[in-house]
Amino acid sequence: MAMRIKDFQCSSKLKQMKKAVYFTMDSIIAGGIVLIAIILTSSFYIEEQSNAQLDYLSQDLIGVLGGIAAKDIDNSYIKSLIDDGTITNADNTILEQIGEFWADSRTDLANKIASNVTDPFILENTGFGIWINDEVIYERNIQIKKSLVSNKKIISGIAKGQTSLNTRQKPPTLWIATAEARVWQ
Amino acid sequence: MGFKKSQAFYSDFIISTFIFAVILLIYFAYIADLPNRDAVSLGNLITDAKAISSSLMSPGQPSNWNANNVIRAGFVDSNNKIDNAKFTELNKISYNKSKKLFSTNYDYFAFFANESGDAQNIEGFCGFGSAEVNISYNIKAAYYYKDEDKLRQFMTDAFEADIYQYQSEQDIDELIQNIGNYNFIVIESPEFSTSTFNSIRDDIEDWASSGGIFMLSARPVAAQGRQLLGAKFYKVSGDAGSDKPATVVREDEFVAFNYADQIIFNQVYYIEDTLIGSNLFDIARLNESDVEIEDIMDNKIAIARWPYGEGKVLFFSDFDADYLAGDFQQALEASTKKWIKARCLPVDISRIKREKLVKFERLLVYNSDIVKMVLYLWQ
Repeated sequence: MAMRIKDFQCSSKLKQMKKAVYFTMDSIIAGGIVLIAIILTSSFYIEEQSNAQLDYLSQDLIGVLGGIAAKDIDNSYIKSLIDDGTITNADNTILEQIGEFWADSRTDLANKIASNVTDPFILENTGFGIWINDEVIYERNIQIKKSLVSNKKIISGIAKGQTSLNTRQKPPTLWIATAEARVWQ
Repeated sequence: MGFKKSQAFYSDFIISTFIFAVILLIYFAYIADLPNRDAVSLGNLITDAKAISSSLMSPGQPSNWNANNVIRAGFVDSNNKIDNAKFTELNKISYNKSKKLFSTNYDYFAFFANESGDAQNIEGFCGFGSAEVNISYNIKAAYYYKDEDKLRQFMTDAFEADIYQYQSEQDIDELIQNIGNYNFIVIESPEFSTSTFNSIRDDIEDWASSGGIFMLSARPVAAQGRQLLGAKFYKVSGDAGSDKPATVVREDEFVAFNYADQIIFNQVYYIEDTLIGSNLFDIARLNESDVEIEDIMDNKIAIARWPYGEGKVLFFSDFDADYLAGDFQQALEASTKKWIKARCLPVDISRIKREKLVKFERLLVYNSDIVKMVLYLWQ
């Protein structure tokens, strides 16, 4: 009997110890999960992209399109337009040429030039477009989620409805149009 | 007994709850602080990236700056076009000096991408900035030398060239056996025996005519007037040991020497045109006894380049020379990179050690192409 009482006491202590072990282990496991969560949070933490990139992109789009002449650019589509006489003044900058097509109501050509020259350089998740006097020339079909940045440049010597020939015969300051590059995310 | 049991149970429970609560507190304190800590350093990185890209996209200061007098390093004109000369000057500036010019403590690297997104060779460079970013050319090169090895280190570093060293006349055979594997071969002062030269001439000419790029100093054979690749090669006789000046008679888009500048070669060799004709582009001619550049225009040719079939050839009297307007070795290396127009391999930034990285993209025009400048800045 005495032996049985002793056995009972021993097994009771063992159960008590097991319970204690159970709670300590529980808190250590929970703590471990929290630590893993901290490590994962740190490694997957991503800062939202700054708007500065969009600002520069709109500025650069206008700068590049307004800085290179149609005759100088290494682009097969524009070369074909020069060769077949569609572009009559190859000294025009790309932006001026887009403006001339717009003035001639040939926005399909203006659209193709704008997309052909710029599209490969803009990230797929970034929306952008070219407008002249608020009339859309080319627009990438992406929804505005965060912000939109725009940059404008005046093109002199073109006006809607005036033919290119007339345009060049007038003093270049007589008509002006505003080209605008919009970039958004 | 039962009381003691429950006391032990609750103390254990309280301790474990306390441990868990402490860990929970640490977790929330860390998470709450994470954006603030990152925002500060990331904000600084973005500010510096904006400043660097604005500087690079400007004409720089002074207006005609060079590597020695630069105050603000920029290489883009008001039409967003790369000024090639200024870009070449930028690549002469050491990395640490450029970081000071950009006023940044962070590391940076910039390269250019074409419309397909491939790294674009700009004036011979696939990128500039930190050496942590490995840049290389998509070209298989070989370098053979005999006594002088002025370009050995450069060929190894820039092109990971296979190096062949003269120990016996038969050593060139190994290079000739592998010649079809190479796009670009540089041979420095070989002066082969006539029999060796005769045995390899056709192989070199066949390889060059099918698109190989060949660069040679001195003469291919230790005999006067032997013809290779459309030119005859000579050594100036009489005073082989003495330095001989030459004058740059034509500025070349590839070779970075300025018109009328003096180059003093250690060994003096020259070529005569036999089959090249109007395609020969003479760059420097020996002064001989003349002083006026008009008179030098007809003298012996010390530096020239010319096409050969589908390939091209560049000849230098010697790779060992003094360039009075600058560093000859630097100009020679820059010229070589520019001349071969090698395509760049993709830029891999995975090896750089960084905690935070900022990427900026800018659009600009290089010659007749629109290109994208990609700037990385990291901490």
